[in-house]
Amino acid sequence: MTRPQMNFTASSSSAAGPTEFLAVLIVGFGEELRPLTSNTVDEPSPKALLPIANKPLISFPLTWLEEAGVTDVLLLCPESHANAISNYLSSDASSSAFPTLAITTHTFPDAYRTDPSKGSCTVLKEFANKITTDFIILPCDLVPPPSLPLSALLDKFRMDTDGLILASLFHEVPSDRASLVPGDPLEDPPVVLYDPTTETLLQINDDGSDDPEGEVDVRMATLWSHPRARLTTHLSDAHVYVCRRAVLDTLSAHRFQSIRADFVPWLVEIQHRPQRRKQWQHVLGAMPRAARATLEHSTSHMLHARNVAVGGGRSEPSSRAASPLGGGVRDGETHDGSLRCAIVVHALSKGVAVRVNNLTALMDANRAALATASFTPSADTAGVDSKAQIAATGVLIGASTRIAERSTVKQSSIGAHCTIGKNVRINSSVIMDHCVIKDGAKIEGCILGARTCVGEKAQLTQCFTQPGYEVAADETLKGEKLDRLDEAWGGDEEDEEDDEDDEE
Amino acid sequence: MPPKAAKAKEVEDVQEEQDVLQALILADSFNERFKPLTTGLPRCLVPVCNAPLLDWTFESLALAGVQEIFVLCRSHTDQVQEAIRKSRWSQPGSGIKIAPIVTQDNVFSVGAAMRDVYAHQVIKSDFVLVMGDVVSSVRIDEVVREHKARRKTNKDALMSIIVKEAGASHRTRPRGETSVFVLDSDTAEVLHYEGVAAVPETTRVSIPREKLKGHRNVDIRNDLIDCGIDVCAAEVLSLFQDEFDWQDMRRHFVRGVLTSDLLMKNIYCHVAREGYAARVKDTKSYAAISKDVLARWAFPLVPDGNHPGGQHYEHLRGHRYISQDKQVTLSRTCKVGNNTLVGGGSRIDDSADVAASVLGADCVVGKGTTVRDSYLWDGVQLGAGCFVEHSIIASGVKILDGTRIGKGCLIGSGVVVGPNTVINPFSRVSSEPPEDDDAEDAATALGPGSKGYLWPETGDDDVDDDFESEANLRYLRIGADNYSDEEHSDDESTASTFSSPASSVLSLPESNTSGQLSTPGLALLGDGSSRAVEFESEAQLSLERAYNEGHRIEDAAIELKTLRMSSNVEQRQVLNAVVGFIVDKIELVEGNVPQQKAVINKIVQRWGPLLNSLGAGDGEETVELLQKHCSRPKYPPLFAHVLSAFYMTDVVGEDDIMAWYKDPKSKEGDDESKAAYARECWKWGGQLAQHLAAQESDDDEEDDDSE
Repeated sequence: MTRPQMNFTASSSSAAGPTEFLAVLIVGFGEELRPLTSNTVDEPSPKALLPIANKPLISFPLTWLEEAGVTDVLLLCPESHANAISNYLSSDASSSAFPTLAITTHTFPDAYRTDPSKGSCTVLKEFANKITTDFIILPCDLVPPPSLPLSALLDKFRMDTDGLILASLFHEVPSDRASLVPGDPLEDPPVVLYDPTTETLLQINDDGSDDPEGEVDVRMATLWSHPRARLTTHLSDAHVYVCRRAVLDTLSAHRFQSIRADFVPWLVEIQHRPQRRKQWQHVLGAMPRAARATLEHSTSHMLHARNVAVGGGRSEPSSRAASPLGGGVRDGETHDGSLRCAIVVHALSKGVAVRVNNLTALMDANRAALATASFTPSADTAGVDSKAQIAATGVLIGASTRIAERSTVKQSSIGAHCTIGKNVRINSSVIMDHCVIKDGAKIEGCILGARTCVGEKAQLTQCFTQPGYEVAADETLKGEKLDRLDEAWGGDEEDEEDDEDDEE
Repeated sequence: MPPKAAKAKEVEDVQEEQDVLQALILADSFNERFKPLTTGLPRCLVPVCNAPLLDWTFESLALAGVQEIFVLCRSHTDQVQEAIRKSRWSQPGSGIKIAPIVTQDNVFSVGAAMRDVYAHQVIKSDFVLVMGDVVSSVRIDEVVREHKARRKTNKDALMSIIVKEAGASHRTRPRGETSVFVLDSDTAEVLHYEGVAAVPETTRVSIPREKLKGHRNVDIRNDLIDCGIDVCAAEVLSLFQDEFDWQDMRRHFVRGVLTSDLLMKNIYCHVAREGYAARVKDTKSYAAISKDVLARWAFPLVPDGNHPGGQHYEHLRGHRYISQDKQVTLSRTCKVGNNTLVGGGSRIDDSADVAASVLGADCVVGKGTTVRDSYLWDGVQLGAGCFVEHSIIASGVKILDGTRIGKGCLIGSGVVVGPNTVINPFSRVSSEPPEDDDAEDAATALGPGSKGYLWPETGDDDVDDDFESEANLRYLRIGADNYSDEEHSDDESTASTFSSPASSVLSLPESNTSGQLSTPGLALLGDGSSRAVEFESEAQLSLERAYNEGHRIEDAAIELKTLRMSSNVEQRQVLNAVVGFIVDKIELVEGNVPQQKAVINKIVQRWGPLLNSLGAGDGEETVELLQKHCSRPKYPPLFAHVLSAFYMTDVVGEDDIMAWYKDPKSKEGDDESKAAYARECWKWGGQLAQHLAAQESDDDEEDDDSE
C-alpha cells in the first residue's frame, strides 16, 4: 500500500526528531462479531468499518492516536479488507479527519482466519522488521472515553526509568454486565494481579475462567517483591501495549498465538522468574540511553525510591530507618533493568471504555454514543418524510436515507442510503448503510448488516444479520444470528437453511 | 418505631456499654523455641527490656481499656500467679481484674487451651484474645468498637484480627513464620489465609477462584505483621469445642472457618496503621522487639517513661538507658553504645564495650569484654576479654575470662562457661542435661571451668508441624540472617560439611587470640596468608576423606569449590592442594620403573580428572605446581612419569608442557633451597617435552588444539 501524502504539519513534526513511537494497529477478522463480519460472496465485511454512531470503528483508535501526537501508523489488516479500509482512509471525508497521520498498510493472508495456529503474534512477528522504534500495539476496536487519553499511557512509559518493558492499559468493566445476545454469554475478564502502589502488572490469569472451582496461584517470589498486591476480576485488557522495541526479539521464545492471551502474560512474568529473567536479560535489559543518563544525574535515584516503596513499608517508620532489612533489594534487580510491566487502570467512574469485540459491546458502544446524539433535519436527510416520527435525541440518520411516512425511529442509528418504508418501527437498533426495510416491519434491539433487506411486516427482535441478508416478508424472528452461510452460528440451523432456500 | 421498642433498644445499648470488656491471654507458647531459656521460667515471664513479657501484654491491654483479664497458663503456674500478684495492674485501684486460669499439663495447643477456657465458662460476650507474648500500643478499643458495630449488622462476623502494616521484610516478620492475608480491598474481610514458612519454602499462594466472587478488588498482603490480637465473638470458643482437630489459631481456626462450606462465618482484619504491635514468638523476634522498644518505635512503650516492670531509667542521647533505681557502675574507659539498656546495679569494667544490648539488673561486664546485640538477663557475669554477640544469656550465668560466645547462642540460667573457650554459633547450653541425654562432654565443649550441658544439634525432623521443624526454626533464631541470600551457606552448614573445629573460629578479633587460640591454623579475620593455611588444612582433610571413602570426582570437586568460596582463596591454591595430594599419594617403588609407572598411572587416572573438573585450571600452572611438589629428594624422577600420566589423562596439554619448559623461571623453581631438585625436574620434563615435540611433527596439526 502506498503511504498517503504527508502534509506539512506531519513532516515538520517528524523533522524535529526521530519518531518516538510507531503505532501498530492490528485489524482482526472479527470472528466474535459474526454474522456482521461474515464475508459475502462479492464483498468482505471488515470489522474495522462497523459503525459506532455511523462512524467506522477504526476511526476511534486513529483519532485517539492523533490526539496523543503519534504520527506514524502501521496498519496490519487482512488481505481482503485492505481495499475497503484504504478506500475509507483515502476518501475525502477521512483524509481531512486524520491529517497528521502517516498510515502505512500491510496485509496478511485471509487464511489466518481459519488457522488456529496463526494469531496476532504471528502477524506481529511477520512485520517485526518494519518496527524500528518503541511501539504501541492497539486494536482497531477500542472506543476510549474522552477522559482517557492515550498520552496517559505513553507518559507512564516515558517517565519510568527502571527498565520498564511494557505499559499496558486495563479498564474497569461494570459488574452488572449482561449479554444482549441470547445464547452468547459474555466472557469474564481475566484475573489480574497488580501492585497499585508502583502500578506494576504482576500476573494475568486468563485460562481458568472455565473452571470456577480452580485456584489462582500467586508465586511467593512475586509477593516478596510486591508485598501489597491487588487481585481483581473487574479489569479488562484494552489490548493497548506500549512496548520497547526489544520486546519483539522475545517473540521467538515460544510459539505464541495471541498477543493478549499468550504473549503479554508471558512477558509479565519475566520479572519474577529468575531463569526466564536470566535468559532474556540481555535482550530486554538494556535501558534506553536517555533514561540511564537521566538516572546518573539524579540525586534521588528512582530505583532506590522504588525499593523503599516496595519493601520498606509505608507508614511503618521502623522499617525505613531502624531496620537494615527494609529494602526489597533481594535479587539485585537494581543493577539490571527491572523488566517490569506497568499498568494503567482506567476507573469506571471516569468514563466507560469499550472494546468492541462482541455483539453486545457493539450494541453498548452504539447506545452510549447515541445518548448524546440529536437529530436535526438537514439537506442530507431530506429523504426523511415529515410525517415520520423521529425522536429528537438518540437518533442518527445517515446521508440520503429515505424514511417514509408514519415510521418511528427511537434510540437508533441508521446508516447512509437506506430506504425505509411506511409504518416501520425501529427501536434500539443499528441499521447499517444501504439497508432496505419494507413497509410495516418492526425492528427492535437489532443490528442489521449493510444491504440487509427486511421484507414487509417482518418482525425482528434482538437479531443480527449478515451484510446482504434478506428477511422474508411476515417473518417473526427473535434472538437470531442470521447468516447466509451454511454454518451454525448459535441460532437455529433449520431456520437458516430455509432462509437460504428463499434466497436462492 | 413504637416508643416501647425504642426504649428496649436503648436499654440494650446501655447494657452493652456496661458490658465489661474481657480479655483472654494465652500465656503459653505451646512450642519450645526458647529452650533452654525457658526450662525454669515460663515463656510469658521472659524479660523484654527487663520487664516480664506478661507485664508488657498487660500494659497493652490496659491501654485498650480492658477491664477483666484471664491469664491461661500451663507450665510454672506458681511463677505466673506470683507475677500476676506482683504486677501493678493487679493492684487495687488499677481498674483491672486479673485472674489466672490453670490448665492441665496435657494441653499442648492453642486449640486445646481454648476448649479448656470454654469449659470454665468465664467468657460471656465479645472478648479480646491475646497471645501471651504481645507488645503492642495499638488502640484495641477502637477495633472492639468496630467489631461490635459490625456484629450488629452481620451476626456472622466472627472475629477481627489485628494486623499491623509494615514492609515485607520487616524485622518483626522473621522469614520462618510469616503469613499472607487475602483481604477484600473495601471491607477488609479475610478471604484466604496462608502461613508462610521458610522451610519447606512456601512458593505459591493458591486462592480459590470462588473466593473472588462478589469481591471487586482483593488485596494480597505480604506486608502485615500478625499481632496475635484478635477481637472475638464468644462463639469462637464453642467453635473450637466443635472442631476437635483445630490446634493453631491461624492455620487451623482461620483457615478452617474460611474454607468451611457449612459455617458461613466471616473473619475480618483490622489493618492498624498507627501504633506498634508485634509478638515475641521466637528468639529472633525477641531481639527485634527489644530493639524496637529501645529505639522507641513502640512508643509509648519505652523503658524510660512507662516501664511495665515499674523500673526507672534515664534516657540519654543515642537511646542509651541507664537505671536510676540502683547505682550503675560504669568505668571511665568503658564504652556504652547506642540502643543499650543497663539495668540497676550493673557494673561495666574498664575498656569494656557494650552496644545495642540489654543488661539486666546486677550484671557484670569484665575488663575488655565486648557485648554486641545481646540480651543479658539479671545477674549475668561476664569475665574479662570475652566476646558476646547476638545471644541471649539467662539470669545467673557466669561467662569466665577469654570466652567467646558465637552469634545465636542461648545460654540457660545457672550455667558457667569458660574460661578461654569458643562456643560455636547457635549453641544452646543449659544447666540441666537435655532430655535426650546425649549431650557433649561439658568440659571439652564449654571450657575447663564450666558447669552445664551443650545441647546437641537435633537433626531429626519428626515434628508434625512444618513450622516447628528444625530447618524452619533456624530462621527464627536470634542472629539468623533474615532475608539475605547467603543464609543457606551460613557457618553451620560449612561446619557440618567439613567437620573441622577450625571453621567456626574464623572470625576472632585480634584481642582474643590468647591461650589455646594460638594454635597454628586458627586464623585472624581478614588475614590472607593464614586464611590460605586454613584452607590448605581443610582441603587436605577433604581430599583425604574423598580418597579414603572413594568419593566421586564430581563430589570431591564440589566440596573443594565450596571450600574455596568460603575461604576466599585463589584458584591456584586449590590446584596446589590437589597436585600436592596426588604427589603425596604416590607410593615410591624404588628401582622398578614399570611398577612405579603403574602406581602413578593408577593414581593419576583416578584423581587426575579432579584437576579438570575444578575447571579453569591453567595447564602450565599445573605443571609448575607439580614441579614444586616434586622438588624434594627422590621425587624428581617421578616428575616425568607423573607429567606424562597427566598428559595421557588430558590434565595438561602439550602446549602447557612446552610453555612451562620454555619459561626461564621453570628451570630454577621459586624456592632457593630446592633449586637443585627443581632443576632436575626441569631436566626430566625437558626430555618429555622434546619427546613430545618429536612426536608432534608426525602427528596431525589438529592435535595441538585438542586441549
